[in-house]
Amino acid sequence: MPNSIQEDLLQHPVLHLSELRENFVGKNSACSKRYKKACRKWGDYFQSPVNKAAQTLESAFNFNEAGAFMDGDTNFETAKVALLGWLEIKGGDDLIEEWLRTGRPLPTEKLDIIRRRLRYETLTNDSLYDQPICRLVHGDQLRRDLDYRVVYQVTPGQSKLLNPQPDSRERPSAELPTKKLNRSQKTYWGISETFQSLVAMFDSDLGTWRPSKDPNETKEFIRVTSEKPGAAPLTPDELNIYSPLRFWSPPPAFAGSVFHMLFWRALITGKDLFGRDVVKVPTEEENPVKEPIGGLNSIANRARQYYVVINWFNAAKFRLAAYDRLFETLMAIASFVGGNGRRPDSVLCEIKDLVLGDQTLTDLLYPNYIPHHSKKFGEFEPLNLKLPFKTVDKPIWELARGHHSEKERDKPTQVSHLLKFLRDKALELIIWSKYQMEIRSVGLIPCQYLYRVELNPDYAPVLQDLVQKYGDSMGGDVADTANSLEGSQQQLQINDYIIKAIEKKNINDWVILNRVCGGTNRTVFDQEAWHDIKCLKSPRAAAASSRI
Amino acid sequence: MRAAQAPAEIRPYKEIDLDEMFKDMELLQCLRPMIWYYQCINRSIRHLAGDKNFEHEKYLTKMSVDQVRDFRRYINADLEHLSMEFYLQRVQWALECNGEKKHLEEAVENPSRHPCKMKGGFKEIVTLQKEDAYNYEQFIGDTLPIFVAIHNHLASINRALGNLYYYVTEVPFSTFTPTGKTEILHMTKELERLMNGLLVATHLQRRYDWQSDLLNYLVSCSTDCFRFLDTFPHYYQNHRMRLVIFPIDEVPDKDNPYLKDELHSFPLTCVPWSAGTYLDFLDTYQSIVHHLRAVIVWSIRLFSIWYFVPRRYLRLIAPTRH
Repeated sequence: MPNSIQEDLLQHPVLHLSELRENFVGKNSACSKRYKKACRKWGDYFQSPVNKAAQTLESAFNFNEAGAFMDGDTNFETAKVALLGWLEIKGGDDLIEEWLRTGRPLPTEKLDIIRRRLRYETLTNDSLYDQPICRLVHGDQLRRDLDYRVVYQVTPGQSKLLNPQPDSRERPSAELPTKKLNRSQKTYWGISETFQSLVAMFDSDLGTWRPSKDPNETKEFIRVTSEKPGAAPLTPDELNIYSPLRFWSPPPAFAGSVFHMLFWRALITGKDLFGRDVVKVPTEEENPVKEPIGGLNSIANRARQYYVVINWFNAAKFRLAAYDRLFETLMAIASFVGGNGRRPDSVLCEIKDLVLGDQTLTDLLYPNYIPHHSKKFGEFEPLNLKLPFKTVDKPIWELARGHHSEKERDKPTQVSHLLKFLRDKALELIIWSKYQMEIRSVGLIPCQYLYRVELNPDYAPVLQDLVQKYGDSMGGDVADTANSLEGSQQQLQINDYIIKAIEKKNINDWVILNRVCGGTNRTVFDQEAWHDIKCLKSPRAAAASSRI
Repeated sequence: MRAAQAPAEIRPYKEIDLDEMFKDMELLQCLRPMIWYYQCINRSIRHLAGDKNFEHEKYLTKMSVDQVRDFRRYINADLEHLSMEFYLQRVQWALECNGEKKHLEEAVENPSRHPCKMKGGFKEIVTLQKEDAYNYEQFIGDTLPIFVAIHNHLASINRALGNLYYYVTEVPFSTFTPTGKTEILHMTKELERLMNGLLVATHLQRRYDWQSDLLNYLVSCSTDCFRFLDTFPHYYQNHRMRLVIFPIDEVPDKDNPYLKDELHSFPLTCVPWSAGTYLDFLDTYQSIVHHLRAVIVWSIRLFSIWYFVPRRYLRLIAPTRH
């Protein structure tokens, strides 16, 4: 239940991001202690979200274009200072420094220090009790139900059935959708919640079956294989397609960071983080009656495609990932790959396939529901998580490519490169823990409060200029111009502009959140926005109304 | 004093066999874990309550409270796929439907397997032989609130089943008197019959030949739920309450049933120190049946979208009915 301040805010027809950031946290002491202050500094707007997030930590961690932690001494020093400061370790620590420099797995006692710290940073069910959480959502994922006057956020699997389009993440196969769905469900039963979280967080960074452009490279890393003979393997990104999990965050982290990370890029470039069009061209049957404000692909119309959902946390529909367990898992994988007498310069493609299955990994990666029972719960086939080094038989692993130095450019990937890759992922976890991205909704979610993102018309021309600049920087030929000096300088100018706006807080004037519907009585406040959300159309109702 | 009897031979253990349980039905995979979970709990209760058929120690599933909670997370996440699986299954059936004579005979026997017998919806796929004649958008337009409701009721049933398991394993269940155990056994058996109805309701398919008139069967299940709730052992609840309100002295040795060779059947269900648990236990059964009845009502509503439902039954699914 909202408290009086929240209640008051929810009565406003318009919400500002600053209000969400500053005033939307309840009086629960556990949560006010744990909720993060919003980070103000923002950087490298067109880089990956990881780099963007990392920049806000006073540029403590720097990643190169390939997403790899930069090896230079300066970067190492700043990262070391930040990491040791965060861990409250005075002086130095050789083992942690070595991990940071080479990716060599941490020993148990050091691992414990980081785990303890991460556990302290992680939200708990108690701290989120009776608290609002937010999510930025594209209108495509929403459906309104007329019978009960409620808006639902559909699951990724449902989205796939609603817009059946070829998905580049799926292997081309004649397999029925039912089979794919079942395979994905069964696979989820064979892996622990910790690994499910890792898959949701890193997706194709844990490996994908998709071929690389270079025939000598592979994008595979972990393969999920069934012990049943003839069963096809799955890669983590395939597994994620039907995953019912979606990210949410607490209001301060959302309004201070997450919103900006997802919204501005989509607004200016017209493509979201996953390269999907922000404005979908309507089909003939859904041809809009009225012309959207400023034209179909106008910046105002792009903004209006996005909605902010505010729901109250409950432990039945939302899950919290444990960063400490995730970190421990990455370290255990690194120890497994780097241990057992393997030298750092061992070439990956010469190593026999490794099944992740020593005692520590079994506890972390596989479910452990009935230890005293001879059978696994639900009789699902046991799964193996495998690192298919030998089977893949390609000299270079694209995921660890960023760690090949200039000299090693065309040389095969070694164990040391993979360890550095795993260190990067572990560093990412530390960064994400600061953004409290660990809340995930499971399945279909009814939206309790729904707001539509609108651009302030006074500032639209400024943003239109940025869009123009971006268009110029991309030019006709994307590949050539984007890499050109002029193109990247223009993109930097856009970054500067947005960063300053966020820093000076006047971003509040740029966007507003218009209340669409919500509340105990599921009131519709903005009829126009309400009608813009796709309706669950019942063919029966249509037929009945035509008869009348 | 009666002569000591030779211990009866323990019957051999039988694994849970879902195929046998499903008979003619085509299983929706997402419900499989929930059925398994229910079976484990059902067997554990029967074992602890002294059912002769479930004496083998393997019938008691050993799980910690955390593990039960973990299960529920997996199971409830799977239930999210119910509407998708239901849709994909029926689309497949619709594509397999054809107008041959033999097919029509089969359709009379098992109408839900043959969407050509529907009054709309999947029938469009059969008529036009096009998968998108009834696409997912249209399907959820028709059914989304129903599946949301069913999902939430199933999640509540899972939670209540977890509580039952907790009561029988974690709290002093052994201190329930034989009367209490018999009572529990009786209710567990009744619940099993109702759960079979739930299986049919969630799949919207018949399980046996005699269930071909699916609607009739679902209505009778709903009535059965009412009967269960109406005949709930209020006497024991009241009696137990009296035990709680008035402090009772410790049971003297001569009256303590556990110190006797022959168990004395007290007219009370449980001894004072497990009284609270017993009430919770009864309450949980009641709660399961309430949710179960709700699922049946929702599934009749789902049925009414695609099949003719006589007016006398429509009152069962009217929103004003309490």
